[in-house]
Amino acid sequence: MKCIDKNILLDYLNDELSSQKKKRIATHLLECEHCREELKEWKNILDITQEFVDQDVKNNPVPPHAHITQRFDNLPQKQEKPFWIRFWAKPVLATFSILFIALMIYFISPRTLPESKENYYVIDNVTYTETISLSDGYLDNLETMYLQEIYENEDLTHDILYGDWQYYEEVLDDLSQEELQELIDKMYDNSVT
Amino acid sequence: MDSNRLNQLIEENYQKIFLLALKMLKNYEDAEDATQDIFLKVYENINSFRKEAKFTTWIYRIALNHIYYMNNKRSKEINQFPGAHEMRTEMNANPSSLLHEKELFVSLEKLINSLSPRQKEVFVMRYYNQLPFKKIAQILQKNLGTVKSNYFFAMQKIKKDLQNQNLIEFRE
Repeated sequence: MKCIDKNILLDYLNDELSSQKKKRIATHLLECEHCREELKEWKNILDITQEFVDQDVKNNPVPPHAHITQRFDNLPQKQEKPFWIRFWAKPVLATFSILFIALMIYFISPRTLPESKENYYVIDNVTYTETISLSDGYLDNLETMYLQEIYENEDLTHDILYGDWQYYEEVLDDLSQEELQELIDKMYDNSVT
Repeated sequence: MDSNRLNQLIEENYQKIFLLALKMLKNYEDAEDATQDIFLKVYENINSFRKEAKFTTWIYRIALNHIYYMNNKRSKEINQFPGAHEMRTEMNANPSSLLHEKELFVSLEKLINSLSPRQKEVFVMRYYNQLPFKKIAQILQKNLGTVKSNYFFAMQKIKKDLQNQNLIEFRE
């Protein structure tokens, strides 16, 4: 075992160690003269210091202080708050303040959610409902965008204005039931292949 | 806390706090004033004392705060009126120290006064107030290791200086 640290030696002298550590140090001290000497020196210092302190305490008597302790006699008794305040005031106050804050947040927060819009389409006697939850402004923008595209594209405008829609309608009207069926079958065949 | 118990506690702690103030402020009159002020503070704030900390710990904390406050105030005064410092140091020569025949005690007093405030507060609380290290650590709100190392360095300084002055025999 190597020699003992000085601060551990001081702890040993001040009785600040566990009994196990104390035993270990005691056995080391039996073997090591160097540590024994060191311990002796430290003990000497501590004794001298204690002696000096005792002397110093004797030389500095406590100043009279009766007037201070008398003050404590007339100390007013601490007034206790009523039972219900001590036990209920804080939780109740906390609950109400949390509620208040929640309400304030609800009222202050902005409402940006657009109202949803429903469009109805009737195709082949079936009604389709389209729910649009975009803001009106956005829809307007979309409409003008499409219109602009249509006006800018001359072919598209022509088709819409003077398109052959009527022609196709007339052709389809003229077809007999069988011919129509044939056409539909062909279309399906084409789509499959 | 009833007043009897309180008076008992104050009676127990008055001397200790006075010694702490005396050693930290190095002046009998200042220490007397400081101790009075400290206990007046205790008196004024006794209603705000909660049992979270022990009563003695609380008193020591108030005392140390006040002592450091006094020290700061005094050092400012000394800076403002440099002449006052010399007068004060003359007054500081404690009459008791003059009576010491032993050269050893005189130099020990000087040595203790030359310790750093951190080392000194631990030293004073350990030797003059006879508090265990655990309690000192509680009062100063520091680790036990820090307090012990402050104490160790203080003692090492005392030992070295006494040996250098050949006041105690030592090994070569």
